[in-house]
Amino acid sequence: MSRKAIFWILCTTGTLLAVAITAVWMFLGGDRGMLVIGKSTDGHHQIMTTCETCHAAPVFADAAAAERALNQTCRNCHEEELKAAGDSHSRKKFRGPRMAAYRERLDARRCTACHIEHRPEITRAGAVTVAMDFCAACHSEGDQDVRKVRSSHAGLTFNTCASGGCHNYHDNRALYEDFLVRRATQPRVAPLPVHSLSARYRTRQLPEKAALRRRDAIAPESALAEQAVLNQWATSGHAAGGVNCAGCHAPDAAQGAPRAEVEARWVDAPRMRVCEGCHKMEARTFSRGRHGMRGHPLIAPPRDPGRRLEVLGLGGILPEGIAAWLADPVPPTRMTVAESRLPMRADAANGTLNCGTCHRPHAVDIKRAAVQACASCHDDTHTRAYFESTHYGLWQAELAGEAPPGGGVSCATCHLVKIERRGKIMTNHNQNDNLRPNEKMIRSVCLDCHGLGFALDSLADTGLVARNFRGKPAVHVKSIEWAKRRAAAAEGNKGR
Amino acid sequence: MMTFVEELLLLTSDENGELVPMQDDRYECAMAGAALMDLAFADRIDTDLQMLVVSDHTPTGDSMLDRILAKIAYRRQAVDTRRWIRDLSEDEALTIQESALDGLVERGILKHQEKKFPWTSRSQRYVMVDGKARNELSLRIENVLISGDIPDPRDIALISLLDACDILPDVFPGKWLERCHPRLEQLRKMDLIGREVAGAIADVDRTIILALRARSTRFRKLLLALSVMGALATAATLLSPRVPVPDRFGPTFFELLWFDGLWQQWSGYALLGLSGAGFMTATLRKWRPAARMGGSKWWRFTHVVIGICCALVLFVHTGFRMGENLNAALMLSYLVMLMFGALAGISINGASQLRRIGVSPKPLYFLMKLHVIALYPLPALLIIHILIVYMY
Amino acid sequence: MRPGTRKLAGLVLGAAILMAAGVAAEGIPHRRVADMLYLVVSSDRAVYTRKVVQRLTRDKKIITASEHFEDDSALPLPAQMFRFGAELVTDKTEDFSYSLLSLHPINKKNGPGTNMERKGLEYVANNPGKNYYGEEKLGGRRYFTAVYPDYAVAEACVNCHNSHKDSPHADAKVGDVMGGVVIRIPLD
Repeated sequence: MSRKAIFWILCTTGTLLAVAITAVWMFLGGDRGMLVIGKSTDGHHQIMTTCETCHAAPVFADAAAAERALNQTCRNCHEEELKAAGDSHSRKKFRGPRMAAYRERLDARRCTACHIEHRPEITRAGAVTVAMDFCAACHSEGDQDVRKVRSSHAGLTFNTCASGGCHNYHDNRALYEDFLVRRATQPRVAPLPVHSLSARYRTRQLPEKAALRRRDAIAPESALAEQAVLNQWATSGHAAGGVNCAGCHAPDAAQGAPRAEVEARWVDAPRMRVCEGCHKMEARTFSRGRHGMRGHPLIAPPRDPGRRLEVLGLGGILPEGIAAWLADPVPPTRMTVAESRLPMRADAANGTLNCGTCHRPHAVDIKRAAVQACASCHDDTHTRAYFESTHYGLWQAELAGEAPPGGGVSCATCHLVKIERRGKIMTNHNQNDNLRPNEKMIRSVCLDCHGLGFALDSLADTGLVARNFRGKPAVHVKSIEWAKRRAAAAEGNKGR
Repeated sequence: MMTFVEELLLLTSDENGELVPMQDDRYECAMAGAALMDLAFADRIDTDLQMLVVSDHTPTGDSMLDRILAKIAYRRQAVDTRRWIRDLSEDEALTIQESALDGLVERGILKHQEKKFPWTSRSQRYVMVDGKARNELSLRIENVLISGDIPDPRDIALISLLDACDILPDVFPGKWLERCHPRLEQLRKMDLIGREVAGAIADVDRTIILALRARSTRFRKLLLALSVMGALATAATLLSPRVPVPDRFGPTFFELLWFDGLWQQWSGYALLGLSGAGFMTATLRKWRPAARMGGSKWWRFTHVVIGICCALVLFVHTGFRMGENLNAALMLSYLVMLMFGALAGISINGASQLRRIGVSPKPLYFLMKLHVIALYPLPALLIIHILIVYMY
Repeated sequence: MRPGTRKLAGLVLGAAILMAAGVAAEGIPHRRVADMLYLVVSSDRAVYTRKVVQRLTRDKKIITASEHFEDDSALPLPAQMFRFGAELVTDKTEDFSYSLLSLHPINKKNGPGTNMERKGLEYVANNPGKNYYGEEKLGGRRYFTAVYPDYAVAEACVNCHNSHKDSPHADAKVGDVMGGVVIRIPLD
């Protein structure tokens, strides 16, 4: 055989082999990291464990179906928050024949019209992948031309709509005109600055009856011997709420089971699902935020090559060993500190995120969870500046009993907000719920202590945010003045 | 006795029967010249001051030579040798080579081999039976060049032909050749052949030199310029920062070009088509029916132009974006392939220009090999690239 | 109104509308289907206006109705209730759609958006008691479009429209044609 022939054979086999291997990655299983066309957004990078979480269309679906399926997956996770935000540009507003002309400019029925993944080059703030003057698509002509409809907007350019602290595309709950007008005269700081839900939470009454004491603990002798742990538990909310050792350490034992059974079913390090069993809402919200989104129920499971082959009518052609070797890498269910894209402390790199990361298992201490735990990993300017901020001073005062409950501002006050569900106050463990755009924080947090104008200005001043609000805002958002002026003018007109 | 054409073919083949790498136009001119020399030694043609004419219409018995003889005789208007060299090198080089191959097979020097692998581009090939004949011939010519003996007139003619075509260094690589310059001069002056034949041979040689020079001043410069353009375009793609899309709500032209699925498909398939065409122009050149369609220089010209177009359409497709992961691998290997092609073009066509700027004028044929080798990962990467686009 | 109640109202409305739309498939002319749909949507809103909003706000003074009903813990305005229903319908089907438009809208978005909308709204404003019917092409699809006059049925409508800062007019009276209900049914 000539050298040329050998060369050709090698090259052809090489090509076929490479394509075959890639096809196997694509259709059956295996790590597909090499196929990614671009870095994903900060919001999604940690769930890039299986492509099918977002690329949900069946193999060989046509482009339209694939895009529909993709957009459906966006809504699966984000629809709830959009609904809660009273989405100003909700999908349904753009359906129907009336909006056909607008859809041609920007098809706002599809999330992917503005948010495409894996396009780092054109990804702007808020994972927007169209130029930030996109408002011009619909609001620059005819009756919708804001520069004509609003005299205050006459000289404005469209790249300032969303960047100036005035408008958001989706969430304008704290930005709409009447809201601004009604809160136009609020002082910078309220006379009694207290975050009301936090205050109510901290002063809530726990049921006295069920409380357990040290002597009530039922556990194996070896566990009971750990006095410090026992003391911690006895003063914790768990004991006060009647949760005995077995509640977590022997979750499979029947309630009120005798010591023998508890001992038999004892688990030294309970899994996170034990916490989830009681703290359902906390676990649910946790899995929606960036701390816990890897545990989101809609993360696609790894593909099973055997089953995929069965679908193609080729079931059983792969020997077990090869099938196992081909299987997708088991996706991590917890985020690790090392994988974060934010500045983190080097000594925290090995940490993973679960309940125990912030909450000590026995001394369940919300004070630790509200500040210390955050700072044990996060190491950005905003976090570091917190410890020199007024907010931190207030938090220390609250801890010392010098400020009323809810008068302190911890990391959690703003980022793990208290919410009220059916009369019960709990912590929203989705710390991203009110994070971006930061005007989302105004209603859930800021307005309890601050005036709207001050809050708008402060949040629009990125330097001030980095300094964790030490100092005064150097930026002024004019929206309140403009809204007031327009309201006054309208009042005058109608009065005539 | 072998014909000039056969000897030339044998000398320009290596021990496997493959042609030694050399510039195509030189080889083609040498083929045409050898055929004319065969006719001159057979006293069939004569050259006067301007024209090449048939002096004897008797067939030689060699079908190829007779065909050329008839062709010369048939032409109503007599034309000069230069024109014949041009026409024959462009139209007949391949048939001359084929008949020489057949002749060598008949003599038992070459062996005809049918194809063994359906996907190899050449349907048939010739291999040396034992290489003895070639070694003998090569030794004989070497001997003429080195020793001071009085050589055979045919050998002088063959050497002068190789020299005129400037393929002596390709056939006899090595430093010793440079020391043979005085001897070459001496050989040129030897008057051992009949005057008519000597005149014809000198005319052929002179004509070939002129023709080659003409080519190098026109076509070669064109190819060189195009190769430089290709190299620059490739370097630009490698080194330039990506062209940003305007930060203005569009859809702006660049945004459509580089981020819109439909436009990307158009430019992508255009690039695929162009690359395929580039590949075809390189391989079809060796395919006989296609080669007969035009001189090899047009195939080469087209190939180089397509290469430049590839670089341009690549810009249209990517805007100098290198991509990530597999896309980056595809981009890189595509650019490496283009770059080696362009560099080979510069090296092969720009010998004199390179000499002027003090770079070794020896054409670097291995660049052409690298150009081909860099091609091999492309089909796999391209298929994967297209699969990814449609899958996700 | 509690969110649950709103949902229920939407569902009842949606069901009634879907039933009406189902009839179109049986071969009833588009115009009659549009007329029937108009009757359903306008009646529902009239009932909401009189039996819920007017009764609970003006008469019983139990609750207010407000544009920002969620922030104000108030009832949605009848026009909002109507629009929410219309949005829900477009979200569920492409078989028909409807909207409440005006030549003098409070929200500019509800002004005439197509030539036919403008023509229809002008026609029903100038020809009391008459409806407008036509065909138009939007987004590559042909539609049967019907425009029905929308009257100011209650004091509350007029008051709000006259006093709202975004309203272009301040002199509307009960019984005036304030705008029109536009119903569209795709023809192909």
